Amino acid sequence: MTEPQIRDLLASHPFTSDLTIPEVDAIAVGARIVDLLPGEVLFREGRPAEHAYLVTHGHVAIEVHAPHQGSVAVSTVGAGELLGWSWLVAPHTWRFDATARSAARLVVLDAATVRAACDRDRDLDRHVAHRVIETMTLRLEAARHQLLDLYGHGHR
Amino acid sequence: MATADLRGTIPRLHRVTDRRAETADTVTLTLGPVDPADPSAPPLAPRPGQFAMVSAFGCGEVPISYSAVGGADGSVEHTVRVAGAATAALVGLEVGALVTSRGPYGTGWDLEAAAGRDVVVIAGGIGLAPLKGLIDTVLADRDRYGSVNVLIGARTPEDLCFTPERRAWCERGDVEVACTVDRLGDPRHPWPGAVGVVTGLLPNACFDPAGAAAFVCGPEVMMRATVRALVARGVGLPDVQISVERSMTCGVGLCGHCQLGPLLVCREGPVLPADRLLPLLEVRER
Repeated sequence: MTEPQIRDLLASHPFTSDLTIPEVDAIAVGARIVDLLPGEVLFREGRPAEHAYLVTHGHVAIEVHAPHQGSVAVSTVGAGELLGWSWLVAPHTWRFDATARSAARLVVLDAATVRAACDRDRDLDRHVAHRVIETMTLRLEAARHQLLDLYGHGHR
Repeated sequence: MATADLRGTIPRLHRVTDRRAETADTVTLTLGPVDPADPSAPPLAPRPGQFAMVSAFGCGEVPISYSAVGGADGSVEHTVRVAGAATAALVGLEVGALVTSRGPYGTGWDLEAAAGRDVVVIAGGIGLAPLKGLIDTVLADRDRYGSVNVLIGARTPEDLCFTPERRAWCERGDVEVACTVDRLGDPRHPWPGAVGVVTGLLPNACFDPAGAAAFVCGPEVMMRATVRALVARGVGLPDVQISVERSMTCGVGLCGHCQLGPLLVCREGPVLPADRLLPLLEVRER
């Protein structure tokens, strides 16, 4: 996929759609597209988080590896979403595994490039932080609801 | 002197004519009137979203929504999950057993409000049961509506109800069906779908928010979160209908057990627009 096509994907992805063209250009240096087959592992817990992943198609599962249970999916991330934020937060190591649940396409951004661009551009920095916090808020709310076991009690 | 129409207020004998296990603790019972020709008590035609007061003999009455309505012979379906002694007795019934049923009661879904618009149905857990009749009605008159999205959340894959129906909806090609589970269940039954709360399915559902009519049923916490997510997406609060559950005993607005603020849910609900119901659901119980 060509650079202009990657820029088009970034322009339409909710995580980056509000960015100006120079901002997109700044974070897109070294960006690429990755296509995953179902079951293909994207990253593992404990590995360096060197890339930011934006899902544009399909689903990727966030998994925890547990003794006697293998990899347990705790959440899935779909098109239009950011997959993980360990690339932004020190020590930049993944806290979970990520495995494609279906055929999936992702834009892969170089994390060091994005962080450096944010250091140079306060508006970009604010935008990225805002979007990551938005993602974290939604995931935290979802995780709390999952913990509540809402469907476990008598209803109708 | 006018005679009061007591149809629906008098329990009528029904026979279980079919029983289908949905999950480990949930069954769908098909009930047919024992005497459909009884001229003194002709059956009332229920609408999707309404409920009946159903009883297995000696075990108390419980409000159960209709999961299918409009059988030519007057038969209806109720999907029942074990939540106490009365529902456990109903779930344990076999084909041929007798029950009493009175109703239909309540408001039901306002489908006229959805005519010509995109339809978004969001169900959590057994909340899919009161919505199934609505989905059936929409799909039976599919051209009357815009896009149709059905988003379903469940505790685990094993807790998803209406497997044959969901498969049939998917195979039609004119309705988008997406399911998610809070957590994975039995590892012997791999789940290839989404994991997470049902609101997580909304971003990938294709509909025009400004022109959509949404129908939501599930646990209250789930419904509050879902309404917030729909409004954030651009759906108007009055365009969201919610079905709320309260302890209903008489079913006809006399006993007051189901009071929710100024409402008697059995009579003025259980389906109400979100702009009317949501503020009441946010009042904390003392």
